[in-house]
Amino acid sequence: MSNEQRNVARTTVPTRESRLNTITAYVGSGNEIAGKARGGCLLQQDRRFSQAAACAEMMPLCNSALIDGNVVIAHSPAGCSGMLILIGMVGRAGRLMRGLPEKNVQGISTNLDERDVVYGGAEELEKAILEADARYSPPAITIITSCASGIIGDDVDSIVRSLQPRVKAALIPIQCEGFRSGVVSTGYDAFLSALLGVIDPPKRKRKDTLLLINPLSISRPNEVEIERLLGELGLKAQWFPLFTDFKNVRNAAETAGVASLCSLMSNYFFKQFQEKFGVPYVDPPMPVGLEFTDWWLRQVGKMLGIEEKVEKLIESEHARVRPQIEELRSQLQGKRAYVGFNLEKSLSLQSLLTELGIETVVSTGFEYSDDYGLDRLENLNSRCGGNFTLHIGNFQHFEWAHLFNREKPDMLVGGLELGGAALRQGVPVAPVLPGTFYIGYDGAVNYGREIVKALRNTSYSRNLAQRVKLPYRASWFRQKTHKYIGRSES
Amino acid sequence: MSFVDTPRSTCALGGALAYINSLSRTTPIVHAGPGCASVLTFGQNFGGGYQHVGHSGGFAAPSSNTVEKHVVFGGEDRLREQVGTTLEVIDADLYFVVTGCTAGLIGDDVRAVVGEYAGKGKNVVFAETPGFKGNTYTGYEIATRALLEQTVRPAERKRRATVNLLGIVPTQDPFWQGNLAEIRRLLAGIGVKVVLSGDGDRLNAFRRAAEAELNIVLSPTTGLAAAEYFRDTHGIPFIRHALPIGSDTASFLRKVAEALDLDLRRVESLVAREEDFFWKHLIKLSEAYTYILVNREFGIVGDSNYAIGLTRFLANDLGLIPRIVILTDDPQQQLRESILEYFTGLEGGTVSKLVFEQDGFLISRLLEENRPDILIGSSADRQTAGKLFVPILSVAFPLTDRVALANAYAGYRGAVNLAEDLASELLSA
Repeated sequence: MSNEQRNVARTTVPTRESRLNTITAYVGSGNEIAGKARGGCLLQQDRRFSQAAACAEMMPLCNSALIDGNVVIAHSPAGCSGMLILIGMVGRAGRLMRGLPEKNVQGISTNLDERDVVYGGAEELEKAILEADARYSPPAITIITSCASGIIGDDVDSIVRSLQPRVKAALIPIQCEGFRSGVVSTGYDAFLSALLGVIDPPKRKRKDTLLLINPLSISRPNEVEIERLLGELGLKAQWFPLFTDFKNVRNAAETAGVASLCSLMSNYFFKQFQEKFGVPYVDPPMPVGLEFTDWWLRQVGKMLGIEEKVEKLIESEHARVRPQIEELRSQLQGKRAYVGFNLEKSLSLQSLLTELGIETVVSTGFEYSDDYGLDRLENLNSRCGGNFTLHIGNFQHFEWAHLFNREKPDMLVGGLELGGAALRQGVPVAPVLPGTFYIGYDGAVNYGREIVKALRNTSYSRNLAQRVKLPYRASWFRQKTHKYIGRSES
Repeated sequence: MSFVDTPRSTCALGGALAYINSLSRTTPIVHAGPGCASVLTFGQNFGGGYQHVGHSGGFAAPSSNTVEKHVVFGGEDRLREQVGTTLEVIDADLYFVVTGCTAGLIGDDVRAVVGEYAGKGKNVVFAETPGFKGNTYTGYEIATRALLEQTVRPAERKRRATVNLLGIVPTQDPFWQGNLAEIRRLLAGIGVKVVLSGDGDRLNAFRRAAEAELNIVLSPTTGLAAAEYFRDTHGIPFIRHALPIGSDTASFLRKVAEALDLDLRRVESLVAREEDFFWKHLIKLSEAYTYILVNREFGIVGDSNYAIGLTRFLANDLGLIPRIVILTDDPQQQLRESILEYFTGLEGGTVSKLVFEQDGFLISRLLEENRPDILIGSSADRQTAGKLFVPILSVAFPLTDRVALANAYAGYRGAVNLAEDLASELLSA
């Protein structure tokens, strides 16, 4: 289908809050949350005190910047695209690991100012789109909306529709005004859903190829492990949509099925993708640790009708890595961890920690939804007693600080969001960063070794903690962690 | 405003937060959408040399996180609640409300909400800094002026030889802390005391800031809003000097001394001592200079302030040839002529190509058309430099291939650092 013919659909997706009753504020035990969820009474509450969080614009911006060759236009004041500066670093490392030539992420801001918010930013957006096409001849240009462009009412969809015949690049508008949702993954829905518009109807089917959604924190070593496992099953992986040539976005519907390395991200896309192109999907947890990797492989096997092959693979992989896991377990048994990522990643890492003999005392998930939370949570509750604290918060440093202080864990299993905060409270970091290998069976062993290393020399965090003054009143640490969630108790 | 490829600053809210994070025991209260404070931590703090700064900065920044219902029904009640709870949770001397695009566009009356705390022994101030008001420099201007207006008390007497330092934008100048430390050190050397230094200033210092005899604006573009406030409201004069790097520091110190009517002999004796140190190390450089620096034509991509200091040092002290200078901070039209004046009278003649440009694509093309032998720029220029096989030292925002802690490029010691870092970059290129 040519660009001229393509119908640029209205691109607004429902928020996670309205579609899935996703919540971003809760503190309770694993058992309590699962029980409330089963009873249908786990409801969103607002915080009366809140801190720097996340918005729906972040993920479309960062992810589309990492589609190979794509130009991102942030229809916003220049601050919104500030995250591209950091994503540039992730992009550089990601390209290096994949053998792609060095290339900056390409971002343009329409730089909305006081005049634009009065008279509209349409003209500037048009200029930016035409100029991006002329400058870089990119295969695609994603156009990201913002609070400002949304409130002033610029009709990005119709601007794009009218310009599409004049440019070579496929124009991909993404409606993701920051105020629309307090749930960051609404942005994932907006991003992946927008890509549906540029996926071609399949001319052929590639029965041996599985489409795999790669979130931006999943770096190349993890993809390699998945490729290894799929290779054992006679399957090929096609990564989508990051660090991949745009033609692999175009032909995504030729694949035999789709799975994800982060079902929190792909939850909405899967349903739409199946509806539009008939590609089946499975939605197992992130394949971290033995049990969740088994889970992931079994669901893929079931979808593709290769259950027996999968069982054989699981058996041989277990035989190979079990002794190594046992060895690590003997070193790590009894340690206590704080796990902090988005919910999907936190619960998956928690599963691996359980296998390594590490007790998870707190798990932070940036959001919770039954759709991608409840079966994992119940699995973990049955394996580790369900008394751990599950903290649901879109960041909220004061609650992390409170929990670090209360639990005094031996380590943080975390990344860029919680890492620095942990160090400053004397908690060493077992890092899961862009670049860390932790997926699948070999990833489990590798990450276990990372933890051992993280505990070997904790001098930096200990030194910091003696000197850091946190900004909180001493009284805060005597309150309950959930004090500011929901209406005042007094 | 025209669109910008690869912006080299964030927004007004980013500049305001950068400034607040430089203050002692001061917390921001961000009245904005849920992503702003985080995005600007990633963008402004990590993009400016990966710095964790601020009493309650980064992810600890209190934020009202306004969403759709607030956009529709107004966000004032939410702000009122957030200010109240922030006072409960955060231990600070000063609570500084700043606003983002949503609050600005829906027209929340922030002044009224903050006004409710007046006279109640709570130090709550505010500035209206929606992103669309301008870039990081503009945000700094708005926030500094607003803070001064709400905290400075009329001075009963002036204190002899005291000054306020204005104009260096934290993290937008990644080396702000080191640079200010060097300036303070030199001023102390001629007997000048600093009230507001731009790094770690306390609420008490703001209250007493009108006791200063003079304001020093360390930038040709930024810091004027605050300086004009002091002049118009408290009768304090100001002088302006671009960030001095190398031997320009002497003229800076003399200018300060004259304005404060200080003993000039003391100034000359400090300059002599400092120049001894400075030249001792530049003599040490001479063998390496012969190998890697002699006859080099240099290019600069940076904000007006850095570009002036760097160009003058490289041309007047190091004897290099100015090929191209690109000024990236989009200064107001009426300031541009005075900025260009700093580039006159250089050793080695005029700069072959001297332009204002903030668009990354056009900057890249200018460098291709005017290829220098060495480049001092930002991390965003690294790819172009690589393509042109030009060695690059990154010092300007966005700075993502270096961490900025105590390093400085201002003054005499900063100039020696610069020579050292530049030569090292050339040796390893």
